[in-house]
Amino acid sequence: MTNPILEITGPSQRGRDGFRPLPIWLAIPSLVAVVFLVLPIATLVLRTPWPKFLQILTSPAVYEALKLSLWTATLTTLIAIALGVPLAWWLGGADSRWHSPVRLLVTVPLVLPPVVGGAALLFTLGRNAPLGQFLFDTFGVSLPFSTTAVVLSQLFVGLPFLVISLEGAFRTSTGQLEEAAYTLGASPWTVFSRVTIPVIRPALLGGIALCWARAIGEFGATMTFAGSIRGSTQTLPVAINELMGFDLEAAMTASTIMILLALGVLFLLRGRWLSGR
Amino acid sequence: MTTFQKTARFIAVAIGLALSLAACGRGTSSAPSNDANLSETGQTSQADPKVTGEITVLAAASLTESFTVLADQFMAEHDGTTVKLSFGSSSALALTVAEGSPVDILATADLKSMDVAIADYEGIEPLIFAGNDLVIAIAKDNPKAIQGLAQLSKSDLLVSKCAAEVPCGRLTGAAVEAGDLILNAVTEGADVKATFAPLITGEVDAALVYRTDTLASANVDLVEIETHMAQQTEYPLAILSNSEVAQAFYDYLLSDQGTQVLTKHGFSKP
Repeated sequence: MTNPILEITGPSQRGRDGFRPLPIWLAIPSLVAVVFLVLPIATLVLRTPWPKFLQILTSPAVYEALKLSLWTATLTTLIAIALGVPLAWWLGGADSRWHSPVRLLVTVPLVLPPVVGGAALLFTLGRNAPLGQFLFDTFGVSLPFSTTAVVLSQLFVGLPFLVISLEGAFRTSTGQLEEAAYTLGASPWTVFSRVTIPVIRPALLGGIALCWARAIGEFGATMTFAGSIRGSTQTLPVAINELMGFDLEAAMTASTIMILLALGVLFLLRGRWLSGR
Repeated sequence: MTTFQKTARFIAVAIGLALSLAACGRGTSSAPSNDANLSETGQTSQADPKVTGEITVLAAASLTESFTVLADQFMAEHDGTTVKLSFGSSSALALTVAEGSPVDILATADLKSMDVAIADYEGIEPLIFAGNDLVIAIAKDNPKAIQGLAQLSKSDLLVSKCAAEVPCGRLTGAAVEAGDLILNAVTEGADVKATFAPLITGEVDAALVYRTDTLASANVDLVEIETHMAQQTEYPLAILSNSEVAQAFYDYLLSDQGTQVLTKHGFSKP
């Protein structure tokens, strides 16, 4: 199973191996699709008040939210790597009857509306939930509406992304090499660190970039589970939602910042350092 | 092998950061500030003792502009204080308080939301600190020649109103009932700012919002609602923690300076 997302963003697989004339009844819908996807984003970027861009970027509301988004998404991604790589490695390894149910359960948050993820987190870890109450009574920790809740919301949507992206890479590209290493007497840890990880490095970097992009764009779960407190839980997407109610210029600028971040991720995914396929 | 070391370091850093984050838990309950440093006798015009620390203020969406200004002024005058703001519909804020959101000061757009929020607290006496009116917000120069609420009833005009559960929605319901009208809205906002958004983007002809919302936006005018349907709301303010900063900000909101800012933004005095 290869990863469709990386197929799209990675270097072209087919190359220019033949000329196909494009019939008009396929050309027109293609063009409509491209225009539909490109026009709104291009319009938003063009309508952004560029002369005021820096002034708005450095205004407290936008700057605080951007800063919070950047560091929480990065932390989320690190935690996702720590938890997701071992899980993906196990899922992509020797067949076990537990693979299917676990894969299914791990994939659920991927197709769930994020707001449902946020509600689920709140009903699990909230003040009036058994687990939340236990944490509060035992450690005095209240997770909802804290910066920790922001990271947990992002992790809930980002972690499945990383696991599913990597699982295919582990499954397809490492089997024989690992086997060879084992027969030469390497320990499982040595095989994992010296053979498996280097081989899947391109997929790993791609998965990391996508997980980070998913985390930085997280809105629904964050809104529900972490709320919108300036400086501690108001991430950039949440700030955009608020700015739409009274400051359109700032909302446009903040949206354009998000677009630039997304383009940056795509640019990295297309970069040379990913062409080890 | 560098890859292995990198991975190991990544994982170590990630776990370390996660633990420290979890340990922080609630920012408000972290260690007290260190007053041990050499005190510079700064030119604080304030006579009150120096307070430092961080508070979280939850406030109704209609207070967005005025409270942002007030918090910035307060922080500028009181070095070492941080006022964190969170705006939303009063009813949603009331629920987040019940779910354990950090809160030192709460300001809602009606008494009902305040009562829900402070149900679990003892001995809280909310104080009415401002008032507001429901008005019809329209595009500048009134291109649709809207005269009043009755005109929006059963018309082709596109109207945005607040959801029935939030304070501005309750007011809208009362106004419509008083005039025995039928109001078909094309969109309902989860809070007053979300209700106002389609008007400033030009998607609707009229939005039923507060007077203060219309004053905050340059290309918006307002039409008063007919007297027999007119609705006012009162804003209660409550202090829900015993933080000194919270007390100081609370006093600041009620001071002449606070009243001045609120009046400038279109709030009426209680």
